[in-house]
Amino acid sequence: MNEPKRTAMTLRNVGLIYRRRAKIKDNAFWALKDISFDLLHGETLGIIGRNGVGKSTLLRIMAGIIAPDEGEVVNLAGQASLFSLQVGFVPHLTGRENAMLSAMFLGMSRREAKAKLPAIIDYSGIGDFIDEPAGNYSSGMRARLGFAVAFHADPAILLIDEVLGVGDAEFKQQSVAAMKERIRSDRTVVIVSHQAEMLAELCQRVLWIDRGRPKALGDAQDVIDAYLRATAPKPAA
Amino acid sequence: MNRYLELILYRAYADLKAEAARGYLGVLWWIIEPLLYLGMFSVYFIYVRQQHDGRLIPFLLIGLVAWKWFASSIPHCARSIASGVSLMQQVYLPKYVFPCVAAATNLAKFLMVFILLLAALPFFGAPPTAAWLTLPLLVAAQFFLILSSAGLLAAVFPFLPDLNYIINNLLMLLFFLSGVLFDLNKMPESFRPYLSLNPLAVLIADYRTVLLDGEMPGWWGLAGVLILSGLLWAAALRIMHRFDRIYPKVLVR
Repeated sequence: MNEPKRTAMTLRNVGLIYRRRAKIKDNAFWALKDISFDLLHGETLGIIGRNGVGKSTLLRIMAGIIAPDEGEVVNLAGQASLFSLQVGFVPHLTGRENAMLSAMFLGMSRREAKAKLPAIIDYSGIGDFIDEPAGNYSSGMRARLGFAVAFHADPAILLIDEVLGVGDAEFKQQSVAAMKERIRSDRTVVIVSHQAEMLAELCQRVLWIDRGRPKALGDAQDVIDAYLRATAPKPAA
Repeated sequence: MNRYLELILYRAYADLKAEAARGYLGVLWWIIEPLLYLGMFSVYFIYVRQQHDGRLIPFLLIGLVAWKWFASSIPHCARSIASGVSLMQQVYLPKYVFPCVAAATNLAKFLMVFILLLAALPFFGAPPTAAWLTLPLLVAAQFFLILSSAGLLAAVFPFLPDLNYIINNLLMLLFFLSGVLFDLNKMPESFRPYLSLNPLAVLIADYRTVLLDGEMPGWWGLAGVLILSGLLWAAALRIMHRFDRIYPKVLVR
């Protein structure tokens, strides 16, 4: 059981540039620069940093949604997907149809989606309302259904942007617990967050990004301690 | 590919159902609009131009129904990639999915109206003939023409948002150049070669040849439409592939 872990995804010198052609000067800025790391099979990697440092952009690059302008991403594991809730939901369709559509957007074939549908509906706890138009649902019910679909998608690499649980208090507890269990299993997971405690609890390693640049990568607790020290409000002189 | 084909079909079904459920007149407009045009142009031709040879109404109807399909699909498909931005930020999708969904929903609406047209034609003295068996081919050719030309527009639309205005004006121009209102074969000899370079004009003339005259469509013209569509679609796919993972970045502003 102690063999070295295989690499699931490799990022080498990944950089992404945003151009703003608002002014005469073409002011381009690197949203991400020189990001390199190996994501290992079965590990949970946290990405921490302040708002707007490019964490979500990095997840989109890992999901294959956006191409980096520099460097390369090698995915050796198969499908890498964002944990996306209510993808493609249309209010005029029934909950069942929305679940099918969403599951297919998340990578299932029609047959797989159909096969998983009973489990999804059961998990959502929506019951007979499943054949009502989703437009008539409360936001809590929509959230439950969205979560149930996303939770059943189960890609090879799961990319989570902040949100673990959704819905009313009861379902939130249930969904957070389910996500934590999945993250702790031998799944390959990347979580983006600025909540240090959550990352410390769930991750083995943490990458700290500051203004698009990697600041530290290593043992979760070490990196988080350094991050908290750096971001703690300075005592007034 | 198979998975994306399933996705395209299911999404098209979902869009159609959502549109119907919204309670808008939806597909009814596809019937109302050609009829309104028909009324207008019949008055013009019969009372103003004093032309009426009994075939005028089915002649105009066929042109207007085929035109309506083309004119409704082009802007819808052309916008499809640009308006799919929130979806493509969440999941990776090859970008041809977007124009294909739009083209498929428009095809379904057209088919409903087209069947009504076919049912109505015998009352205008154009009963079904063996030539009608070629209709699936004509419909397929027009579908491919719509998908390929609109697909190319959709591929460049995210970079050129002003294309919207250009498309609307070009459609207006095309309406008069596609033989919706006149018979290509009755145009002056010197004009004809130019008009027949317009694939939509070729198809509309073919629909009439098949439906009204009971004759076979012009095979060379049809082959030309298919070849042109093939080239346009190849170009569209190339551009979509080139910018596959760039669109989600460009479209965020």
